[in-house]
Amino acid sequence: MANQKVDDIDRSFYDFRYEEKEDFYRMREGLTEEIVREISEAKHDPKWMLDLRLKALEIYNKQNIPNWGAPIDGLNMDNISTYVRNKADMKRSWDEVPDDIKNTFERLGIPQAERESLAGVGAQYDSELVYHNLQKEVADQGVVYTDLESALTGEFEQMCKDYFMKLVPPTDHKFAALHGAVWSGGSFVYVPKGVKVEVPLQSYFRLNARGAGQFEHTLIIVDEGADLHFIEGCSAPKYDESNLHAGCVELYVKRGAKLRYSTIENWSKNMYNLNTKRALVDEDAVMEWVSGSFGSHVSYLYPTTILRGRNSHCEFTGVTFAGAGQNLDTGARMVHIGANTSSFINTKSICKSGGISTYRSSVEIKKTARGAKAAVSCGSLMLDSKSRSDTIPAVVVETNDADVGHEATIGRISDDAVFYLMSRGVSEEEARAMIVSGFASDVSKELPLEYAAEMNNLIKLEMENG
Amino acid sequence: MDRSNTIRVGHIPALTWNSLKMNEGVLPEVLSLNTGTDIRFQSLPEGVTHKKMTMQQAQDWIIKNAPGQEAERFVAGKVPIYHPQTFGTGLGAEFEEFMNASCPRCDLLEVSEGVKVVGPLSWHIDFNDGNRAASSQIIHLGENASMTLVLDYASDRDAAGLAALSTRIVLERGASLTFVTAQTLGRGFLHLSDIGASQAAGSHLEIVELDLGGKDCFTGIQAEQMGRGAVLRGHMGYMAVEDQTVDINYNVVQRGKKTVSRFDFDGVLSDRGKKSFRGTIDFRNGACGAVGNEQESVLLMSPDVINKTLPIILCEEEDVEGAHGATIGRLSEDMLFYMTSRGIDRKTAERIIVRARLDAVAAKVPVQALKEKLTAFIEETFSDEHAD
Repeated sequence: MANQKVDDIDRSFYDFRYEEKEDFYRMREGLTEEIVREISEAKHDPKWMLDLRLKALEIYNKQNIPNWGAPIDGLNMDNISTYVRNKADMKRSWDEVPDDIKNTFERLGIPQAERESLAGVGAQYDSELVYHNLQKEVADQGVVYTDLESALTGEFEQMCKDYFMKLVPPTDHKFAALHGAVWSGGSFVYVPKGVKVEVPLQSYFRLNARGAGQFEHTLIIVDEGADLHFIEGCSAPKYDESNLHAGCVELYVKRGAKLRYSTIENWSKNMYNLNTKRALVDEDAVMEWVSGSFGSHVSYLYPTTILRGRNSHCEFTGVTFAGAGQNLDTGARMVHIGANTSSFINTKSICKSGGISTYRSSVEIKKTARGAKAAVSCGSLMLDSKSRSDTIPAVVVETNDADVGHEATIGRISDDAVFYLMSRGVSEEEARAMIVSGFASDVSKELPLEYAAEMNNLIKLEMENG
Repeated sequence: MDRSNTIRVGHIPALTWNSLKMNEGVLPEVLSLNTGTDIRFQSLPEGVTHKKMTMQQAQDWIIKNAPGQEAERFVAGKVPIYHPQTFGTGLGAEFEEFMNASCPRCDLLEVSEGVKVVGPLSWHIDFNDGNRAASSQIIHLGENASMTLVLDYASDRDAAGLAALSTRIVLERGASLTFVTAQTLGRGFLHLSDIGASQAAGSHLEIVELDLGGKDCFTGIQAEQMGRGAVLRGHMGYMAVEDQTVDINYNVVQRGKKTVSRFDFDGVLSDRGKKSFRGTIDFRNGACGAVGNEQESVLLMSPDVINKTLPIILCEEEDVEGAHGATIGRLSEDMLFYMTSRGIDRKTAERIIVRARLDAVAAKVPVQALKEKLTAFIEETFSDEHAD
């Protein structure tokens, strides 16, 4: 075995970009009512959507910046363009996608992944979907996977109206309100009752534009007894000025259904990633989150699961790696409402080279959640003393008929473990690298690397020749 | 009621979601005093002195004698959340300001360098119905001195009032203090206990705290482990029955190399009892070899209780070991089944298990008479109010 050491994640693979050309439309920077109206007009919104946007803008202007979490002082909305799009329409044939965009996604391995292991794929470039496709046999089962804009004006308009921003209302927090005002792009998925989608669907989000924001909305409804695995990936090239991602994911898991939502986030280090994800889980249904957070300058990311139905269950598995210049505030929230609901949170955090990692969570057992069970396990590994790792987990229990367990550990690489491996002929650097890999493995093994070639490049606990 | 004039206590050093209402405690009433407390010792062992000071003199004493702490406004990477104090305490700056403005005096209890006090020193305060009183004390142990101090305050079960206590502990190099507090106030009392401690190298502090009475209880401990090898061990027992609320803020800042902290919290919630626990282990850069551990166990006895737990670890040093754990839930059905199979009826079995949890903390009280009193208080609470 070659000598190895633990290094920062190599993001050079993602750090390529194409300059905007004349065929791009770019909204002027800032956030005003006029800008919101222009976005709405450009997207041919129905009236109710324009009203929602304007209401959300009003809420945004009244809400305060969070007083907890990583500092976001460097984010100035006056310098952010909220809408950037290629003038070409969304394509359903890969060959028709403009060359720059096509080259971007090909370098990220998306078409290859679609061919090999995905039932459908959506690709968003800046503010709009540029490509969307669903395999015929999956479409024949009645599965709908399309861009949200099409769904809003087609046969699913009423369904969109019933579900859009109902789970994450604009009043939720300032960046949910921002999202409501300027959202653009994203996917709509509907899996009919009893349909089990055997291979995953994937959406990939790429923010190429300098000083821009991406505000895609993902709305997924998995109807009773259905089963879906949805994969989300995101990346961006690095610029000197700030970029913003304030997406929103709303997931409805109906009675007896199962949804796995996997995310590999690898935004560049100039990105403020203020994302909101939430799932509503009905009786006997199962929600699974697999989340890898590796990129961005600042992240606020806490997928929330509301276990509304009896016997519903959720598992959250997450890994966060914070390197130089990163302040990643990640975790999960569980809200138990139904009787006999259960949840398990298992997270690992690694920080090095001055990176800051904060694990933040809450488990709330409401009075109605009799017989609820919840467990939280979070581990943090500090690789040097320039870095910082914090753990802030909250538990609120409002009934006696519940069992909640919580455990957290923080520490360094064990000298004993290093010594043991060295006594078996492994060098110290190799030993440390092996231990770090092992620390993350029970989470990383859950990541669906086999489904998308792009993901092979995301977790780089780089083992370099010494 | 209008709470705009009430004070906030027990701030955590890193905020979380405001919607959880766990970032701090808010007192249910505006604080005011109508009487004082009078602390007298019949006799003191050799090498131990007791002196009364004004609050201004107490402040001057702290500035002159307590090891310098950073008046922090920031934790790296966090928003400014510390309310700077010259000498950090668990309830924080607003309570300190109230005490400085309202408490008539401060008692200074000092143990001279090298003096080992044999046997526990007891300090008892009686509160009467209607009393609204505050007590402030500084406990100072010189190098290699040691002492066990028991602070016991109580009132009649039905009494109402305010009991506000501030205790600041300064341990010099190698000093060792076991500090026991036992509170059995009446069901109408607002109880505030604010402890701040500063530990020099090699010092050892053990805190045993029993919060059993009162209507609303706010207790806070902040320990600054400044010196190498300082050790803090703590065990707290509490119960919240009827409409009692308990609010706990514990914060140990481990700055010195090879410092050790270990705190256990055991509680019982019944009826409409509410409890909020915030516990922080804060490893600072340079605290190589430090170990911190906090464990919480909460027994939930009624469907109307509310339990909030927020165990925090902040870490900016690689070479540390930190851990926290919490177990929150009902009585073990296996245990109850075992006991009922031995002929004990279920209600009695429940009472035995609940009492055992709190008795385990009471057993650490080194004064036999007080230990028996506390055991009887626990027994009476769960016999009278929870029997069929």
